[in-house]
Amino acid sequence: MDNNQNDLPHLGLLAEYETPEALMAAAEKVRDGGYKRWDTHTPFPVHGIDEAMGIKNTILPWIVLGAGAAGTVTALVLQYWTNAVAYPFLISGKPLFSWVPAFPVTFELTVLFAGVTTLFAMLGLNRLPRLHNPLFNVKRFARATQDRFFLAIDSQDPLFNDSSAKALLAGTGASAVEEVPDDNSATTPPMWMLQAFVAFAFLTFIPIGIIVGSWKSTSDKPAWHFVWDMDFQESYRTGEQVPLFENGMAMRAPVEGTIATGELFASSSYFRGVLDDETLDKAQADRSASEYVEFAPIAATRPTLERGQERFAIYCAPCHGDSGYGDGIVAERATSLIATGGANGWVPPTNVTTPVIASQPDGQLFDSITNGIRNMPGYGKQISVDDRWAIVLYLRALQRGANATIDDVPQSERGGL
Amino acid sequence: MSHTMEITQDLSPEKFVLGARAGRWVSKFAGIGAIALAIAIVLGLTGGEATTSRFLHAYLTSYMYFTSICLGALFFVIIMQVTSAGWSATTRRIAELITMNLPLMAVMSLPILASVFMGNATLFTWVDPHIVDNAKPGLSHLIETKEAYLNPTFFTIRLAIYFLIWIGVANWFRKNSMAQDVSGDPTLTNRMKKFAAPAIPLFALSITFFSLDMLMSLDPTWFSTIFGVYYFAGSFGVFMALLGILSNKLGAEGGILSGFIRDEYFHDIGKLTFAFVMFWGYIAFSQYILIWYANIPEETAWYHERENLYWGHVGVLFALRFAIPFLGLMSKHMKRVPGRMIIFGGWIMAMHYYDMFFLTMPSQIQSLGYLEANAATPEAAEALAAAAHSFEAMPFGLLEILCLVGIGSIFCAGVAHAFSKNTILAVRDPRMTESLHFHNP
Repeated sequence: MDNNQNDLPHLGLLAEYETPEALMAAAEKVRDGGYKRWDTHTPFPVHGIDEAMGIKNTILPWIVLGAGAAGTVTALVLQYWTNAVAYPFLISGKPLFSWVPAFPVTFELTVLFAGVTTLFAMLGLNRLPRLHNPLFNVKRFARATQDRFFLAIDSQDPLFNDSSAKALLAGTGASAVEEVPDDNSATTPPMWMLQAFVAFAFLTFIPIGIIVGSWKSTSDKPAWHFVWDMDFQESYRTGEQVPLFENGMAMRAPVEGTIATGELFASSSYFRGVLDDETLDKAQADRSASEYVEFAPIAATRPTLERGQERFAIYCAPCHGDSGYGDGIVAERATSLIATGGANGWVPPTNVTTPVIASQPDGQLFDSITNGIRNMPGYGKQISVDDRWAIVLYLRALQRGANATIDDVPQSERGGL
Repeated sequence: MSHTMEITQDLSPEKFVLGARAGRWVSKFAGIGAIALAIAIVLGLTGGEATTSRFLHAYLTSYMYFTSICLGALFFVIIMQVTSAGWSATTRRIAELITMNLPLMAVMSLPILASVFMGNATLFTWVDPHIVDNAKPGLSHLIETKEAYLNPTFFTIRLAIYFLIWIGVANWFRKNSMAQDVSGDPTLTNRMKKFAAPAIPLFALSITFFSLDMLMSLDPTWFSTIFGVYYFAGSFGVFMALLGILSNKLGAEGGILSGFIRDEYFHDIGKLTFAFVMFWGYIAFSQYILIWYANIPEETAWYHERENLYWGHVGVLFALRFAIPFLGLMSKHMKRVPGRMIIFGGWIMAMHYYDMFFLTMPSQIQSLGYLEANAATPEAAEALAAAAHSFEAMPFGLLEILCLVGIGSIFCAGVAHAFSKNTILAVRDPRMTESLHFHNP
């Protein structure tokens, strides 16, 4: 505004009105007069002033719509990529990516992008922040924030003509028309503001620098404690002495009769297949057959054997084969791999129908299933106690079948062989 | 700023009575409605249990649809008074006249009450917990514990209370507003504003329990604490959509309110419509996401019926009822340009029917299941099973159309009657000056 091309002693005209209606009427006249560089100033938003001034629709809504759409896309891509591509992690059976949980984040980012863009695009479109306006040099303009309504025409308007503009404003019922004096104030921000800005910009690099610096470096100093009440919680620790309890111990003793997992000592023969638990302390090779339970402690009924058959098919047959000959599909596959030079170190599964195995007491078979033997892992964790005994009984049936003679077949059935 | 404003329009009350222009429609609509409902009732009651169930559900769908419009109108009246809204002085009377349909809706609830009182469990299964138990042993225990609330007598009493509240509130506001047409007494406005505040909780509680009774109790084992708000959000939204259409029609060139309802009013009505499209979407999604996340069978069962069993509808409903009008109504040109609100107003009204359909109709799946398990003969059970399977397609057919047309025509007859007899503008509302000079910021 400081280069006054019209060679006028002022920057434009300022008209004052007492009511918004008078301002609206004046604005319509100035609009119809064809002026372009002019503005109104009111203490509060006056409805309909846009129309009276002939202001065209702003493009702000389109910018905001674009920013909102960008937020939507960003949120969806971010969630899809993090959850389903970069780090797929199944949580409680939910799909890796679903619209339902993605919606709130999408909504938030849409609003965030749109909201922040609204603010900054609005500032940008209005060329704000503006620290100084020559209108401030007119004393009465101070009432623009209180109870007066102003209309200012810039003398740089192509149509501007001092006398006709004055006549126009005088005819709009203005309570006063005043010239806006030439403005000699600086057009650049004061130096201290620039310096402060630069200093601030440098300061913002410090935290970033610290983070980058400590990113991959190591340190033998103790960690910093940011959250004290989390790192040092108000709770007693194991072995601490406390005044709360009679015995002074922080830890409570388990309730009498409590049995911890894996510490059930109820019956050595039923749970472990041995007569005395001390047997289990010795290596398997050092134990004698007489230390095991000779007969399974459950009844060999038909349902039990069928149960054993079913469990055997699930847990044992893959290696030992359906009939226990050591020819399960895993073994067959390993054999075929050995033929082509693979499966190094493979120990073939035992044929469990041989007399060596058949002569072992029930308890020993039970122990082998429970704790494993040689290369075979223990199945005590997977198979329940009763099921292990059922497998043992079924094993007996397999051994009997594998070593059967014609005398085992009933007379009436022999004809079918 | 109104001291310099003047009203230039002629505000004599007789100018704003539609008279025969609306009155000639009353008998036509009433006739169509009566015939359609009569056919629907005959078809519904003679086609066996499955058809009765379908008829009752279809009737309830349309009934809840048109009742929600009246309730939206009532809320509009209350909220405009409590906020001292200036802009709505020209449109408020339309809402006041639509609430005149509330007594009509009370009468229209009789078929539903009849089904409950005759012990017919094809609509509300809680009417007979035993048929439920024969189908799913142990389930009736859940219903029996709610028997103190869900029983025919109390159900009827509650329904009567709701309608007494609504009709009372609506009549009081309308009476005062119309008295002002004659006297122009501004103290009436103050009185209405004062009463509008306590009317809000009264309205909120009654519409909440109304929706729980009429819609949520269709599956008496299911519960959602947000359900009342859901129904309210849809109700107010659909009324705003209707108001958008009516004000565009009445305010158009040559319309009775031409010059009184302008683009500025379309804009505000459009904004409220838009807001309640959002609000509905927000509430509907809030209900869905919590149930989806928790994944507890007793809660998901309701959505399971609507999404997985036969109806892949949840996503479709969100898209049609929320996403399309949300995007469509975003622009101010859509709201302001005369006539355009009719497009999305009509769309929202159609989608609100879809919403009511979505809430009501799938409950037939349960009803039919119970009936099937309790069928007297194997043949009857087979027929019911076949009827249940017909739900694989969207069951929108003759019965649904007849119920929609029937109740809709009677509703329209009521509106036409109200419009033909009364001034359609609150001519001496003290805010009329402000309203006529209203500009959107």
